[in-house]
Amino acid sequence: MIELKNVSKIYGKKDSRFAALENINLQLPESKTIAVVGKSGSGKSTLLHLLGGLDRPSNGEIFIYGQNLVKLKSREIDLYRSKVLGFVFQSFFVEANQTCYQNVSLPLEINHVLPRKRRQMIEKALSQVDLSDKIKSKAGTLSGGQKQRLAIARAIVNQPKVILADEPTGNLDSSTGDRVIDLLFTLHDQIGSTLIIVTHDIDIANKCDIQVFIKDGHIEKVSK
Amino acid sequence: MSWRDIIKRSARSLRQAKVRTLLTAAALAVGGFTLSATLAAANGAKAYGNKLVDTNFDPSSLIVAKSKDLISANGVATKPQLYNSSFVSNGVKGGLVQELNQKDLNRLATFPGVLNVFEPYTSSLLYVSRQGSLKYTGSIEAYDPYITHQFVAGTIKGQVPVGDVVLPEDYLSLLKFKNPKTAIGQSVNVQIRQLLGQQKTETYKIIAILSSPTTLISGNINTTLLVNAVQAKSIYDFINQGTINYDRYLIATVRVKDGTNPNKLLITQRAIEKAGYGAESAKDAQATITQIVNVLQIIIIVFGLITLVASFFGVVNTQYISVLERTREIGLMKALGMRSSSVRWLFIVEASWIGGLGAVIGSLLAVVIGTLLNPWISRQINFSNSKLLIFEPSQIIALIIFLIIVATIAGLLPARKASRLNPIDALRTE
Repeated sequence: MIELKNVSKIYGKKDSRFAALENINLQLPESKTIAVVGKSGSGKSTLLHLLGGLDRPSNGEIFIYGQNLVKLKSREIDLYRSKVLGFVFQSFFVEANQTCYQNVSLPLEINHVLPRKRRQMIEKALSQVDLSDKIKSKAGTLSGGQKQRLAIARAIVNQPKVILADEPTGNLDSSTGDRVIDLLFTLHDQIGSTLIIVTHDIDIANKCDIQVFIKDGHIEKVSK
Repeated sequence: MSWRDIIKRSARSLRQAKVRTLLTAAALAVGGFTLSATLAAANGAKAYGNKLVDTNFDPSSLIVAKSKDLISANGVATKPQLYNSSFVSNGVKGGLVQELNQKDLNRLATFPGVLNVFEPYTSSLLYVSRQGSLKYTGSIEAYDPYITHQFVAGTIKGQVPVGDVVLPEDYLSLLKFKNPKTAIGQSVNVQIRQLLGQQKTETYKIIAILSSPTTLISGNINTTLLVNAVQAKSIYDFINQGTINYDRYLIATVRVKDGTNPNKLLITQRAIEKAGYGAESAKDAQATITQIVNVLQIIIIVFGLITLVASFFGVVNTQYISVLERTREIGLMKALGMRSSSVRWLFIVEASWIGGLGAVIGSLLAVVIGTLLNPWISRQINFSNSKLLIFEPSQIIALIIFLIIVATIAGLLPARKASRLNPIDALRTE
């Protein structure tokens, strides 16, 4: 269960006060696919940052699998991000100079996975995104769609409970984007993790079990 | 992230910026080169100094002159002295100085712990020759049985017999001897001229050939024939008869019983000094040389350290650029849950790698160039068989560690900047 109670994120004070999120209350079931939909500036990225432990709310509490993120110390937040979450970003953030193997290895290194166990996990993740043949290629030589698939392999290699995808198709053409989305859904079915996709694309949102519509820092509606 | 992964990742980052890494390391290498060459040169100079003292001074004896001033200035008066009719010219530089006479030599023998007093009775010869050879300059003095001499041919047990002579190696070919062995038993003539005009020739039998010493404090050993002390004294007396130099000796060697024990040597030295003489031990001579070397070394090390300061800022600059270039990577690593301390270490270790690389390049270059140039340098500065540059592995390792520490400290600030980046902001950077 992912639960947000009276969550607000407010920037600035008095005249320059700006509420990116205001009094958000939300309950999301585990192991579902969830779309967070909204225009740019609606607060959906802020919500993702809060869920990802990259930022802390001004008010309220966030429970993820029973843990209150707000009360975690920075060390525990780091552990939460490395053990519970997998991130997929709009601009991929793969290291162009490193091989696919090295890119996928990063979360394992952060998680102190023993070197001898890594290879098998990396090979599995790369085969799940259909990049087995690129294991030794530099990430910079990959196409956009391949880069995002590599990023997905990096996100799933740790078997995370929650995958956070921030506009994963934003930098891709529509057919490549569709493939990436299909891949995310397939992997979701395989791993059984909760998949949260932030998007402004209603077609993608409609493929998810739950759609959370955000506008001007408020939840407009939640469809199931 | 484990240390192993941090070290591997930081090395990988450096490999991806090869030119920048090498240029930064090159700056450190200059410092490393200077410092290791300096240390090696100082080692060589000290070793040379020690060798010099070892071959020229007997550790268990003292060099004694009539007054303390004369010892510190190699027998030359350092300031005007009250004239005394006993003063004679030292024959070196202007001014008259007090010298020892036979009475002094006898008195020195009575000081506590004194084993014997040796006076070389050094005299200049008019020339040295042999039948059928040209005439060559030279000097003559008493053979000191307490000093270990290196002979290329012949042996001496105890004193040189009267009538025999030890010939320096350099005279062999000049006097037309085919090799050292054939010279033994042959005779040489020495021509002596009295200061008041009279000349005489003396003929000696060669008993041994003295090898050219590797190191010299004064260049005369190669041209000094050694004879029995009695003979040396009679030549000295013959030459100086009727002059103020008669029975006047600049220095004498006072050998101390068990003098290798520094305390016993010091007791005798103090007693002699208290009586108004100047006395110097091998250790004193060594200390003077070492002190000169140390001062020179400090000067060069300061220059080496200045280049290190420059390369320190080079490393700081490079690492700042590295942090800026990799802001997004840092953001990603932190977003994926990497601890700030790991991020900091990643950049610190990167700086350490640069330091290690620079240090190894610098000291390796110094060792290679130094080893190749050593014979040439030694020839140029008349070091004969000694090496000017002596590389001590322990010093080089210490230097490498030192440079790694310097680079590591240089990496601290940029690494701190990296560790403090906010992942959201870092990921937004284009």
